Amino acid sequence: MNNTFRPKEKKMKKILVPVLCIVLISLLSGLLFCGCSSEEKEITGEKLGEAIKEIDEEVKISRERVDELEKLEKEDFEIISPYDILELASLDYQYTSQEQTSENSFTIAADFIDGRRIMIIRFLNPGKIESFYLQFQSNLYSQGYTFDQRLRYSDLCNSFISQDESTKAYLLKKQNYFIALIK
Amino acid sequence: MGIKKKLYTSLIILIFSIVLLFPANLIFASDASANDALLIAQESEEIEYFDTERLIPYNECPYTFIIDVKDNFTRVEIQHYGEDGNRNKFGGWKAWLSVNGSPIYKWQSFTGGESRWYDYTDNSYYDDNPPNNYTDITDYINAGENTIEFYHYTEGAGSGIIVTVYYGDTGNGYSTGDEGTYQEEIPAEETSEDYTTEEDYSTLLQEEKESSARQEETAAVGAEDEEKLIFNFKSMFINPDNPGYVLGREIPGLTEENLKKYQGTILYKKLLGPADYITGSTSWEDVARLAVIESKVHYNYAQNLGYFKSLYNILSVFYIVQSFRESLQDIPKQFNTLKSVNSAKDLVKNKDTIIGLSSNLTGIYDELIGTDREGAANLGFPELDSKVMFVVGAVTSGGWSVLGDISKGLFIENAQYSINYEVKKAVLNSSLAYHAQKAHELAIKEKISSAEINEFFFHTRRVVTLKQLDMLLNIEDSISLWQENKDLMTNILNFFKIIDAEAALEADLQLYDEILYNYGQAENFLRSVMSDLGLQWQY
Repeated sequence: MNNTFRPKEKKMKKILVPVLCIVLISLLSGLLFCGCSSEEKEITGEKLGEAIKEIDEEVKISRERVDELEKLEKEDFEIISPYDILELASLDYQYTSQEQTSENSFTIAADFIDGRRIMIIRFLNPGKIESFYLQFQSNLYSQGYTFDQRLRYSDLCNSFISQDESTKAYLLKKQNYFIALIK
Repeated sequence: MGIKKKLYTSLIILIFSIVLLFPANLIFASDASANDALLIAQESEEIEYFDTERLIPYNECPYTFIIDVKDNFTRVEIQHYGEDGNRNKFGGWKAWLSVNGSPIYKWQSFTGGESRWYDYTDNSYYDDNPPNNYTDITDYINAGENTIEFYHYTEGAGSGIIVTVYYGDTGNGYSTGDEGTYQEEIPAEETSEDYTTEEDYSTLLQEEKESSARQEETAAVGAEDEEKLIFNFKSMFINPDNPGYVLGREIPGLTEENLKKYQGTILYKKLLGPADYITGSTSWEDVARLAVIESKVHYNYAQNLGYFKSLYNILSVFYIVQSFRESLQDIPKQFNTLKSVNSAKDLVKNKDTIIGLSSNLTGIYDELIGTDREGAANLGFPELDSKVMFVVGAVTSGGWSVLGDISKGLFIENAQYSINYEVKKAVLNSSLAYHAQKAHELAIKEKISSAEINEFFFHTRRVVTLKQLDMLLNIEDSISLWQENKDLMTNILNFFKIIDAEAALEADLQLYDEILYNYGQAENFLRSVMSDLGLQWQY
């Protein structure tokens, strides 16, 4: 009985050993593969920002020339004051102005004698302007102003048109400044 | 080896014997204990009451009442009581009640000064004076825990529930004295072995015949119910003549008339604008189509207003060396795919893209918030945005999420700057369009199965949830700028000649409260319809 089983056992061993080896190798390579794939690659904020910027670059940019914004384009807002900005944007027209200070901002609003109006807001917290600019635009849309176009000035510049189409507003974001110009 | 083999064989036989005998022992044991319990109960003729011990006001509804019934119960009755202590069969204006998910009764209408009720236990309609002041719910009760769900919408103190459970005896009509009903009942445990004489056998045969006739009758009623169910389903969504339909102008209490007082406010414009769901939809297809348009508006706005440029500034200026998942680089592709979708049908094909985009945006928000909570909030990434985007992704993928976290309180009290408003609205509306389109595809089917009806409700519930969230986002847009910059916002809105902005904001908040309440009502309505159709709310 035993003698008849032994060759079979040997035969079994001959088959089993390579099969087990194959299974083990497969398992190990599988584990290795899973390990590699689960270890997801990472990228920096800068690289992710670049990838996301692609979406923005698809926005058509208008060539419309806005004289006030042309004047401001060349200036570094870090080294000039809000009143310097007002002076540049006035295009030498007379104006009346008033200023207001709040917790996060300093504001000058001015009415020019030719009917134009400007509001210059300097944010004291550099991060705040990103969200304020975006959220204010969404809010303006809810208030009846519709998006008109993207202009080529500074960090971001968009124009909006009022519901009755009588007013055009330019919203400019540059460094820590949010500027609204109404014509 | 031979001995060993024998030993092994004996051991295997022994194990098999134990395995085979063990359940049998259990069965015998449980039968014996059940019989003992029955005997004890029969001897004691026990009655047990389960009472809410207080009146349940409408704002606590749907109210869940759990009762624990012992296994030898023979009859269970349910009643309501009001402030005067009088007991009634039904529980109040627009009330419904279910036991373990099965509907028991439901308020139908109010005509000629009387409410009309439908009793599912006997498939009958009743007015305010039914023959009994209780409902027999014995057939719906199991030994152990039972869940009773109750809803009503009655002003005042509300309505209480009392359940009477009889053990060992059918009772003698504590509730009504209507003994006739009890006599008709056939004891459930009787078997042919209990009949010893020929007369007994003929009684059994007769009862078997009656029983099978009852079963046929039940089957006929079942088919009738199925037709009624499909009819209800078809007429309910979306039919502007039906006062309860979920997304139409007639959301309970939300009428054009009552919106007029808010004319001129932001939300009014959003609600009654030419392309809005409230006025625009007469079918689920419309809801889906309009949501696709709405999503495209917001995808374009996010892009045009400079969302991605700001995101670029934030990531490459403030978080330049922070690590992000590489897969987040798929965002542009996902965004462009969803932005260019032109129909709800195409959107359904892009379900995974909606999930992918919401998941990737959640990933960015989480990373920023995790790195520097306060800094991220200053840059317009409040903690809530991550939750909102997560909910949208979860709801799209079919999972259910905790909308409770995204509550009104969180928005009103903690509304913060958000850079993500447009993109949140865009992805949310993609998700809404997806669910509405799926609901439409099911609603237009000529023949619809129970499973498909269930699926239909799966999608409509998600539409309602997403609409609620959409409303929360609208108000977030209005108030968060104000909360942190009241002086600045007053100045700037005056500059734009948007006068009386503060009053408009107040009106917005008031309208927002009403709308949220009405969506709550819509959800309750949907829940009661589902209960009508025997569908489970929680799935």
